[in-house]
Amino acid sequence: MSRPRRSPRTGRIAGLALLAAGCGGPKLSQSWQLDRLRVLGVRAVPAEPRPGETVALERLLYLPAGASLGGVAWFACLPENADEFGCPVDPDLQAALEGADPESMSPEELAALYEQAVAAGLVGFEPWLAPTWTPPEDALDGLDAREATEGVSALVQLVALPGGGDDAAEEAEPAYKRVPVSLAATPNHNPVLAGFEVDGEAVEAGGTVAVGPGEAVDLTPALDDPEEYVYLDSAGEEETRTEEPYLTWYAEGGAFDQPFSLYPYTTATWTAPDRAWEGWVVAVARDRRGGMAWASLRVSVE
Amino acid sequence: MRRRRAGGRRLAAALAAILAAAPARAGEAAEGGTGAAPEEEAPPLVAEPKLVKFVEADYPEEARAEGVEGSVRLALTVDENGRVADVEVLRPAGHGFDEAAVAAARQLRFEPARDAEGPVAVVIEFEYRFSLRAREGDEGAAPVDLAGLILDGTSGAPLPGVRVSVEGPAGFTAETTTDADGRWALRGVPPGGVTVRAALAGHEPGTVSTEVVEGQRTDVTLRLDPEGGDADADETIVVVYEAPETVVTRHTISIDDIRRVPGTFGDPVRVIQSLPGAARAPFGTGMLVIRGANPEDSAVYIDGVRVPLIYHLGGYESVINPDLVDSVDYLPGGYGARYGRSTGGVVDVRTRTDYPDRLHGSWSTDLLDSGGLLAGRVGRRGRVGVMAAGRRSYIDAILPAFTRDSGFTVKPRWYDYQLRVDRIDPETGTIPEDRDELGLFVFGFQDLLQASTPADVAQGTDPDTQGDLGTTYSTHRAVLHHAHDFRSDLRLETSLSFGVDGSSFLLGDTFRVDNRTVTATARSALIWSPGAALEVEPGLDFIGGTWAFEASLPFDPGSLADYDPIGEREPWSASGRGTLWTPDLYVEARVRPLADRDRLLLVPGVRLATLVVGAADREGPMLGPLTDLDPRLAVRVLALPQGTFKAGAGVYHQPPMPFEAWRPEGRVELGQERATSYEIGWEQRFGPAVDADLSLFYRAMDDLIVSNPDFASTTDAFFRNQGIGRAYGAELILRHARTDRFFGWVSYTLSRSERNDDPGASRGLLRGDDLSEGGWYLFDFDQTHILTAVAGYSLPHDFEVSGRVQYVTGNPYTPYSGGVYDVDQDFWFPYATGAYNSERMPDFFALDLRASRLFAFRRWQLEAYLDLLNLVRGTNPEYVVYNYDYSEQAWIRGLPFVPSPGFEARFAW
Repeated sequence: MSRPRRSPRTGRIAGLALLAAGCGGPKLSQSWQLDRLRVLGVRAVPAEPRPGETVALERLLYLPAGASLGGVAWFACLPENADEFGCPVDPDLQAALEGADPESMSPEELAALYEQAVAAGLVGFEPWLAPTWTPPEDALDGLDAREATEGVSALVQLVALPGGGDDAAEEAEPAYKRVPVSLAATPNHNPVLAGFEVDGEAVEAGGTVAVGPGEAVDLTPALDDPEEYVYLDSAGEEETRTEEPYLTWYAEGGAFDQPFSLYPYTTATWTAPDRAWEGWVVAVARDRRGGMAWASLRVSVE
Repeated sequence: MRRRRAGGRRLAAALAAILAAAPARAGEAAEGGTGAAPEEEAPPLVAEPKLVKFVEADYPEEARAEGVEGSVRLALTVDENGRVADVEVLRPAGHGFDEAAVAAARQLRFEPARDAEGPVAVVIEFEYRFSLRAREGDEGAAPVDLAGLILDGTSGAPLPGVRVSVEGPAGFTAETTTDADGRWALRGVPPGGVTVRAALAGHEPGTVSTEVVEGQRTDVTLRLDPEGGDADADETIVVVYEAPETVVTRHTISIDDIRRVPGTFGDPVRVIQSLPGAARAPFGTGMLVIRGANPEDSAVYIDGVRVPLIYHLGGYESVINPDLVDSVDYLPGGYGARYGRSTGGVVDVRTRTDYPDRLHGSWSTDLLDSGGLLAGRVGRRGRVGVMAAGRRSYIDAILPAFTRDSGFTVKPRWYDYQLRVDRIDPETGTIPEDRDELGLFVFGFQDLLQASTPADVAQGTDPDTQGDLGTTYSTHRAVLHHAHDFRSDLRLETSLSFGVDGSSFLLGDTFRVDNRTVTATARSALIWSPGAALEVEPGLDFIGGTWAFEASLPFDPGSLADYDPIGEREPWSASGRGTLWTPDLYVEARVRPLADRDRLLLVPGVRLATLVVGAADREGPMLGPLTDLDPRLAVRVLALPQGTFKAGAGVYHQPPMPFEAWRPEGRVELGQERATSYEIGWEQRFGPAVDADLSLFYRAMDDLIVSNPDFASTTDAFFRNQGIGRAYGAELILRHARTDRFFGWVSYTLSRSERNDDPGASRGLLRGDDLSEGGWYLFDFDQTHILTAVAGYSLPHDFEVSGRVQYVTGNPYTPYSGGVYDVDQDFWFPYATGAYNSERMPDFFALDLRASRLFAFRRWQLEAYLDLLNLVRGTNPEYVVYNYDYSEQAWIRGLPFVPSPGFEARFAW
């Protein structure tokens, strides 16, 4: 809890200190490194539902080769029930869910647990229950027309559990995402990421490309044109805006100089390992309105 | 060398330390039964007699042989000319003491007492003390005011038998001779400018002018060149660390010593971090953290004019040329009513006012910057002293050479300048004693940091912050100083300044904040000294001016409380301009109620702390008017001949920071922050060179300005006065003043500083971190133990080595482990695994060494030095950092081992 009055200066001079020190800083794992269970992306389909409109919830997880996924629990809540960590989950319920073994439970036990979980906001528990959520019909009640057009941001919480072992819960990956629920005339759509251009050569999502050891390649996402949408400013005036998506890049090996790229300069440079290698490179696109897309590329270093 | 106002001179202070003199008017003497009273009741005096020449009494051989000590009390009739017309023994001591005392007393010279019609004869009581111990060890009754060492200019060997004559203010003269070690010392020298002349057959005479400051010892080292050799005297003027009496704790630092402290880059101001009460600032920050106060809660002055910053970018060097610095007053707390608008400590940098009779210059260069100074006299008979200095960094010219290939450029740059012009006494080269003081001081500095990136490279995922990053801040001041003595007991000191402060922060095309403040200040103090027992100083400390700012942000700051997807942002801008007025008034008295004036000193004072902030776009004040009364009291008791008890208590108010004092519309309902400070301590001398100072302090803070937890939009109050705090601890410094070869000190601080932004709350206001019981948390720079040892030693052939060892408890930090991923913002919100600031970084340890050699030539000197920083390669953490998802933690470490060479050249034409 820092007082904001001292934060700006402290932050500034801390930055200057780092500059002054002139050193590269400690070695910490980089956000683009894929080496353990990670939540990389989450989206609702459709991206901006109306009240009562059911959405499918999709996620992009990274799971290292040889590792197993214990499950993914999904919860949803309206903003008035959320906290700064997403949808609060009752600890007893969380323990019960994490300890549950559906294969050995009776149908009654499963039903009781399910009812308990649903009451707490459970909307999915992969692989047994596909995550979907229907915003309540009254989600926008009490809002005026302009506010309803802007909508509210519901929260979707997921916890990905690695499979097996007593440490699974500790290694669980929690994440949350907002799902706008509105009556917008131009509701948001998830962007479309069809593939890549690798040094100018088109490769479909999921495709394979071969590069040389230590080779630096330019990866350009094949992203549809940014969407135009109507934004209601604080004065109630309509304003047509264009999305400015950005991409986050991940890889199982090699290195990114910069793990993100920004429209219209969406190309990222990836340097291959300097030895024979095969692995995934992943890009996740965000349209900054809650919409997401992702695509992967299999790279072989020969 | 530190200048003091002439009104502060009190003869009794110098006398009492040796002789327990008790000036008494004639009538009072009669009541004491001296029999020397005038027959009629005398009119009241407007000035007591002041001793201008002291003559030490010869110790009677008979008494010395018998090992007898004693004291003789005399009644002296001081005539209208200041001569001792008659001497009567009031309390004899026998053993030859009486005769010796009478003989010496007849040679004393005084500035005569005065009544409303002019000089008058008075009778005073005077006491000579004879102490064998004092004579043998230079200890006992009196501290030495002025002392020195005379060395051979060629060999550096001490010169015995040198005749030393001293001329001081108001006709004071004294003579003495150096001992076998080339040393000499004088007591009873009145404060003010003095000229020291040294003469020895076979050598060129040497002369140096310096200043004797009341309550302090001034040391002078002179080198006499053999006849036919270099005629220039290499003078070193040293103000020795001492704790004068008008504040509870003041550390006045020897410039000559501290420029040799390794790790300070030769900058006197940086040595503050080696003194008690000052926390070690993280490397590269230069923050002043004094007795657990926030950095912005301590005030920085240059010659009494407040400035917003004391260090250049990164905290390497102060904003004033080191060669211009005369002394640095470091007041960690307990200071009097003349200082205000801060609840923390005070640092007051004083500049030189000694102007050489020939043109002098200096030039220094190190890894960071280069700068120079020129000083001399102009005008008819050299009555005007001029000093000009400047400095510029060149790291901005070097860094791009290393970053050119990547397209990234980082350009830190700073410069500073100073110009000082004073009317001076051509005889002494310093401020004249017999005329009005009149001086002009112009100074300023600018710091700039610019980081540029290629246009097609993103610097983050936010399109609104793409582009260059730049920050600039600047300060410029012109100060006119005047002092006038209406009478010998009434003096008016006035400083008028005009200045501009600016700051600018730029990030990309849409994020920009500019501030500009134009201020005029007036500090005026009327010093009335009706007698040795009382001095009263009412004063005005006025700051008035205009402020203006413009801010452009890519988002509404009111939306920060909620999720604000970039796609739904609206640019936000604000601007404002207005006025600010702080016409603070204060009065401070210095009361010495006992006959032995040095025995007890009371310094009561009170300050009216005010603030009114107006905005051009609204009627009536936007903030205020705020008026708070700050009563303060300091007490010093000379409880033992060499030991002083000290205590103080006071209330200190600090106005809101500029950005806290503004909101888009309406009034800002904020008050001033308050600190109530208590301090007791003991100062002890252990001889002429060693002293110790122990202080215990407690500071309670309330009405601290913290974020409004209910802030949801820009129409809500941004801040509230609801925080509280406390800081307490003990400070000790044991110091060995510079002798001919050695100086050093050991400083230790034991302290704790805590804050509570929302008393009773269990979670923090901003990030929701858990707090310990009651809402208390450790201050960000709380350091339990701060131990610093500094020592320097002069070697033959003008070599000098010095070292500094520092051990400091690590700063607190909040531990985090893991986090939850905000998928929309690609950001991890960390889980705190402990309360706010509940863990500490590893302790800090560093050893710095410095070696230097002085090369003396006929017309110039060159000092070359090498600082070896962090010699033992302590891997000291400065900041804690985490990886992207808070699953890994690491330290940003401070300086590795760094050898830092530099040189300074001094010229005389």
